[in-house]
Amino acid sequence: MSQVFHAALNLLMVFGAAVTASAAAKAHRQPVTADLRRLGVPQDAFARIRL
Amino acid sequence: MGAFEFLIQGLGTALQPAMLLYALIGVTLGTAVGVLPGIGPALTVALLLPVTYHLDPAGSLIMFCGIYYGGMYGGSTTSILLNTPGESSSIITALEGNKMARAGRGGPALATAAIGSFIAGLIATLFLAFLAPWIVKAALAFGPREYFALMVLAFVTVSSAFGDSTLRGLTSLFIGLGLACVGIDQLTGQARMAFGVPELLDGVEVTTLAVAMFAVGEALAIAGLGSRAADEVIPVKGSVWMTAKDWSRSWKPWLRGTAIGFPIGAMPAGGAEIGTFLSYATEKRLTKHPEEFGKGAIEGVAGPEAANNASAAGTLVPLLTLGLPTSATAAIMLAGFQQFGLQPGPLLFATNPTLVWGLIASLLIANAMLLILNLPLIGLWVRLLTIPRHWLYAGILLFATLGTIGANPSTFELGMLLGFGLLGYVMRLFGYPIAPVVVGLILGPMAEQQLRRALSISQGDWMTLVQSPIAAILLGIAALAFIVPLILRQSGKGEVLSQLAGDED
Repeated sequence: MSQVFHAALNLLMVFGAAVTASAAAKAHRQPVTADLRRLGVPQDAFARIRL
Repeated sequence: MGAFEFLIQGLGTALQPAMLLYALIGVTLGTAVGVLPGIGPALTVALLLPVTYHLDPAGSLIMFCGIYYGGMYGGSTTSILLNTPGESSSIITALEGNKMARAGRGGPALATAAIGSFIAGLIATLFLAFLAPWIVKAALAFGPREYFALMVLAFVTVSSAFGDSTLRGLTSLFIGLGLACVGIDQLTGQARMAFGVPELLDGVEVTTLAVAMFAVGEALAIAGLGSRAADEVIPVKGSVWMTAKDWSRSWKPWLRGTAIGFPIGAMPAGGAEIGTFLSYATEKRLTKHPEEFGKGAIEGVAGPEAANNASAAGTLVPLLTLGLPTSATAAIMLAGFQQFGLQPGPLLFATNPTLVWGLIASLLIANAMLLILNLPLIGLWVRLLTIPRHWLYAGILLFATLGTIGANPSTFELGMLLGFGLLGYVMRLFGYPIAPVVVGLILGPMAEQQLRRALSISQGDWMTLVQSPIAAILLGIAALAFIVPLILRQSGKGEVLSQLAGDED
């Protein structure tokens, strides 16, 4: 039961990270490090993209 | 008749030579705007709105959808070859795609993006065709209070839930809702907020506002940025074809990307970008080659590209079945429907099945056209990037002005175009989203009408809005869509605040 809860929570956190990271990127801003980390996006490589 | 029969009938419409020509113009324009950074499908459809006033409605709408699909295809090219995404939905493609291009594998990166986009577009369009009749059937039970709740949900999600800042999003929305109040009251016939100006009695034209906000505002914003360094295009070396290994590593990400992108696109204000980020995260977790991520993993291109194209079809589900725009381009396309006197929603499927199914079927054809146009003509698309930016934006300004005057020949309309254009520029400058303004202007009068109808039926009892289970659930989801992102943002607030250094509300 707690495993299911943790998996669901993890999923929600990843979704939240995707939402906030995409909102920042759309606004031509660098997303928050924690969001990029949660999504597995390498921060250095992302910083080099011309948003 | 089932969805399949309707789709076959729609193919009959979409395969007419004139419709094929409209689709070809749409996908060509769409690919071009997708390739050019800064110019998106929303801006292009907005520019074309006044021009298509006197054209065939079905053909114009097929062209708009072609532009939307084409934009999704074209955005990947510059992501891969320049590390500059043509569209915000292709940002994540640049991560692995550009690394592949630098390693001399630009061809396979472009190929997996194009083929993945084709497969995702095809599957998602079929999903749309088979899902739409079910949603239409359910939506037929909707009354005024359910429609009002649906619009509240759209307002919340478009403006605050998935945006960068709740306050800014809501401010933009209320600017749109305020503009929607201008003109003659639909129920009492009284003039509202017209300030004695006769031209304002007709209200604010959605077309003028959309062209001003997206085209004039964007052109001014680009001009305000000044000149920037020339883009360095990485030449495509070797074959553009994928090897057997590339195929075996791409097909699963294509399917997973489709499965992620389609529902995200159909969500109110989900936006294609969210699906691409989620697809990248999924592929990174599931890959058998984790060491290649960050160095040019083909899965990191295949999945997100499939997700962004699937989301384009997903966006059309609420737009066609409920008349609900979930993205900026969808909002402008809704204005496109309205300019021909058509209201997307369940009734459109009953009153205009030839148009709706022709439109859905044309997406399948547009998809095939895009695959043919994209890969072999890659050199031509890249050459578009050599067009000086100031020429491009001067052309957009000229086209926007001529289109608006052509559709509505009055100096007052031109003044509104410039005024709203300046407003769009200032909003961009201070980080306010543009789409909620347009959505507020389009959906505001509809929401007001449904609310007043519901209150008339209930004789002024506001509780009627939560007494229908469907309306109550929709309002509950709207409340969650407002609160949950606030909590999610709060969880990383320290980092956000330090990063934005007071730039946030």
